[in-house]
Amino acid sequence: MITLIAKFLAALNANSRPGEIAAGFACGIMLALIPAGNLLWIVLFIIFFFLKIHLGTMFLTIIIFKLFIGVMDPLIDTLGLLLLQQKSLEPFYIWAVNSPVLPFSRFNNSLVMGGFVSGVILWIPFFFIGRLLVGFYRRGVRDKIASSKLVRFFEKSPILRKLTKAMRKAGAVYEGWKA
Amino acid sequence: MKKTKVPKLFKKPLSEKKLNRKILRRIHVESERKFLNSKLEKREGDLFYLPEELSKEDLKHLRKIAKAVKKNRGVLVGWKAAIILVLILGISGFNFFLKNRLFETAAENALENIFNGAADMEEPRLSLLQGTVTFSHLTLADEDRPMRNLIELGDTVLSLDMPRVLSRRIIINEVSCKEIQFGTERAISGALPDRDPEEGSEEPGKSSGNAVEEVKTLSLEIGRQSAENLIDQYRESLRSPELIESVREQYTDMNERWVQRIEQSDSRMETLEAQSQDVLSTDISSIDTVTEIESYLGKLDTLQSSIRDTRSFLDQTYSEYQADTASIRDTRGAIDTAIEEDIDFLKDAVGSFRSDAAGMISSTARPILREKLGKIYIYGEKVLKIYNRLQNGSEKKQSRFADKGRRGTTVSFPYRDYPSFLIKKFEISSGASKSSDFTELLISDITGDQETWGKPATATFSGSPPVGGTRTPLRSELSIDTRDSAEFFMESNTDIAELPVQISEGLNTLSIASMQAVSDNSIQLSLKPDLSGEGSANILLSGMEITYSDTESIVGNALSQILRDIDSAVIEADFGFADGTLTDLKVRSDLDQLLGERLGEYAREQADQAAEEAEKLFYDYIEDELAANESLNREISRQGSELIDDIRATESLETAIEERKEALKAKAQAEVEQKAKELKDQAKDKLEDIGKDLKLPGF
Repeated sequence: MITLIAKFLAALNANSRPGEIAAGFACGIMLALIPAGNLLWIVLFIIFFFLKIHLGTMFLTIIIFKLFIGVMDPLIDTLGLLLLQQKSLEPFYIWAVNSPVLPFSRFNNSLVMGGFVSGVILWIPFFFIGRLLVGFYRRGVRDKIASSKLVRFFEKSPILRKLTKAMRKAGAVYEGWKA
Repeated sequence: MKKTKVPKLFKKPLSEKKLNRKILRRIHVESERKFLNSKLEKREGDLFYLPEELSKEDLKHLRKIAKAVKKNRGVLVGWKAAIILVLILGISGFNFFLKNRLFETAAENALENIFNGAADMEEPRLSLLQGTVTFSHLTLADEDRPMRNLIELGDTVLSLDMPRVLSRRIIINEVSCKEIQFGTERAISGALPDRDPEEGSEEPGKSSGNAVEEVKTLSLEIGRQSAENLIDQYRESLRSPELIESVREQYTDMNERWVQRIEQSDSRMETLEAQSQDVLSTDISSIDTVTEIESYLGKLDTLQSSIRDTRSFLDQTYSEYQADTASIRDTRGAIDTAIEEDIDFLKDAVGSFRSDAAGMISSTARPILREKLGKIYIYGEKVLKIYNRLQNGSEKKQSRFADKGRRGTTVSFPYRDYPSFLIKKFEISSGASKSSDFTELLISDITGDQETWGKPATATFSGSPPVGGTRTPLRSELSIDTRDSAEFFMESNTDIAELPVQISEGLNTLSIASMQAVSDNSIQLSLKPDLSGEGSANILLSGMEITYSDTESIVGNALSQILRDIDSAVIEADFGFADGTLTDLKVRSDLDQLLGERLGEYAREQADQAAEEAEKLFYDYIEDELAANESLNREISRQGSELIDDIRATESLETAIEERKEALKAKAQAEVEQKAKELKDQAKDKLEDIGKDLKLPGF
C-alpha cells in the first residue's frame, strides 16, 4: 500500500504524462465498479496492464474505491437491471449467452452489466478530471507543498524515508523534490 | 574524472517543430520545460542548439529530461511488450514441441480411466486453433482380458467444436477412424498396475458345458416308446393304483378288526352254548314238583336273558359289519371307475407322443440359443458399465468464477445447454465403399448426460466381417438411452446374413452327429436399466447338411427322410433377461411342424399299440393288488357268515327255551290241576265222612 502511494506520489510529482495517471485513475474506477471474479474483469485488467497507463494509480484507485463501492451498488444494480431487461437488447443477450466465451463474463449479472456500463460512461469524464487535477497540482500546488515546512519536517521522518526509498525503487524520483 | 556527455536527443540541432512535437510536448513539468528553453540557443536556419559549454549539473539535468522524454513516448512499455513477446514465444514453443506430448498423456489417461485398461497412442498431432486431433495408431487394452485389446485404431482424425470446448465442454463434431480391429492380441499385458481386476467376471465358454449338460438332460418324448416307461412316467398321475392300495389297506384293517370281533362273538356263543347245554339237557319229564318246575323255569329265564344279550351284541356287530362292507363296496366301485379313467389317460399319454415330438427342434435349439444369447447380455452389461463411468465423470463442477462478494441479480435468458461431454458424430469405416470388405460404424450423440442433450446415443454398424473364412454381411442398430424417462436402457436390432453354422454338440437327442448350414439371423434385444429385458431372434437356416449318428432310431430315420428334401428351416426365439441371467426362452421352428406331421403318423400307430400294451400291463400291474383284495374280501365275507350263523344259533336257542318253558308251564298246569282234583276228592271224602257221623234233628 505504501509502495503504491509512493509510486502515485512519484508519478504525480515526476515528469509522467498526466494522461497516464488520469487513465490509471479512470481504469481503476472502472475495475472497482465491476465485481471481480469474471472474465470481463480479467480481460479488462489484462488490457489495462499492457497499456501505458500508470498501474500504481490504477491499483490505488481500485483499492480505495472498492472500500466504498458498496454504497453505489444499488445504483449500479438498478442500471444493470434496466439494461438487462430491455426488450430491444434481448436478442443480443440471447446470442451472447449461447456464445462460447461471453457467458464467462457474467454479463447477465446486474452488477457486472451496470458496473461495466457505468465504468465505460464514467471513464472519459474521470480521465479528463484526472488530467485536470494532475495539471492543477503540478501548476499550483506541487511547488508550494514541496517548499512547505511540513514537507521539510516529513523529509526527516522515517515514514518519508521509506517513501523516498520506495520512490527510488520506482526509479522516478523527482530531482526538484529535495530542492 | 569521467566526462559527462550531452544526451543523444540534444546532440543534433533541433528545428522548432521537432523541438515542440518530440521534446517539449513530452515534458509535463513547467520548470523542466523552462529549464530546457533557457539552455537552448536559436542560431542560423531557425535551429536550436545547446551551448558547447555546459556545467555538470546542467548535463545531468538534461540527461534526466531526455530519459523522461524517452519514457513518455508511445503507448507500450518495453518490459510489458517483452512479456507479450515471451507469451507468444511460449505458446509457439508449446504448439510446436509440447502440445502433442501433453495431448498424448491426457488422452491416454482419460481412456484408461474410462475403460480401466492400458491405452497407447502413437504420433499424436493436435491443432488447437482448428480443434483437430490426429494420431496414427491407438490400442486400448481389454479390462477383462489384459493380453488382448478392446479396440485398436489406425489413422484417426478428431474434430472438436472449439467454441464449445472454450465453454469447458467436450463437444466432438466428428471422428473418423481407419483400420479398426477388435480383440487383437497384445505383446504386453494391458492391465493397469494400480487397479485390481473386478472379481466375478464370467469366463468365456463357462456356460457351454452347462449347455451341453442341459441338452443331455432335456429328454425328448420320442424315446418313451414302451408302455412300461409310459406307466412309470405317469405313475403319479394314475388314480387307480392309489385307490387299490387304499382299498387293500381298508380290507386288511377291517379283516384284522373283524377277526377280533368274530372271536369275541364266538367266545360269547361258546359260553352261551355251554350254558344252554346245561339247562336244556334236563329232562322235563323228570321234573315232578312245582318247586322243581319253578326252579327250572328260573334257570330258563336266566338263559333266555343271556341269549337275548348275545343276540343283541351279534345284531350290533353284524350291523357294523354291513356298514364296513358297504364302504368297501363303494371304494371298489370307485376303483373300477379309476381304472377306466387311467386307461383313457394312458391312451391319451401315448397320443401325446406326437405333440411332444413336435417340439424336438425347439427343445434342441433352446440350450444352444441360451448360450449364444447369454453373450448379448454380457455385452449389454459392459456397455452399461462404461456409460456409468461416463455419467459419473459428467457431474457438473461448481464454477471457479463464483462471485463471493457482490452478488447482484442474475437475469436468465433462453440457453441451449450442452453436456460436458458429447460426440455428435462418430463415423469409422474400413475398406473401399461398395467392396465386399467395406465396413462402416456410425455412432451419434454419445454423451454421459443425455438428459441435457435430450437424445439417446445411437450406433449403426454395417459390414462383412470374415467368419470361418467367408465374409458375413452384418448390420446392427443400437440405441442407448440413459434418460430417466426412457423405458429401455438399450435397444438393438442386429441382422447377420450368410453366417456359417456348424453344430456338433447338443444334437444327440435328434440322432444328429453334426449339422452345417448357412444362417440369416435377425436379433432384437431390449434391456431395461436394471438389466432385465426381453428380445427375440429369427434364424433362417439354409443349405443344411446333416450327418446322422443313428438312422435306425425313429428320430434319425424320420429326420433323414424329412430333411432329405428340405434344405432350409426357420427358428424363432423369444427370450427374457432378469438379474443377469436368461430367465425365459421360448423357441419355435417350422421344422417342428414338419417333423410333427411325419412323426405323427408313426406316433398314432405306436399310440394305439402302446395303449393296448398299457392297458394289459396296467391290469397286470394291479392284478396282484386286486387278488389280495379279493382274498381279503372273501375272508371278511366268511366272517360275516360266521356272524349270521351265531345269530341263527341264538335264535334256535331262544326258540328251544321258549318251547321248554311252554312245556313246563303245561306240565305245571297239569300238575296243579291234578293236585287240585286230589285235594277236592279228599275234601269230598272228608265231608262225606263228617255227614255220616253227624245226625241232623227233625229231618
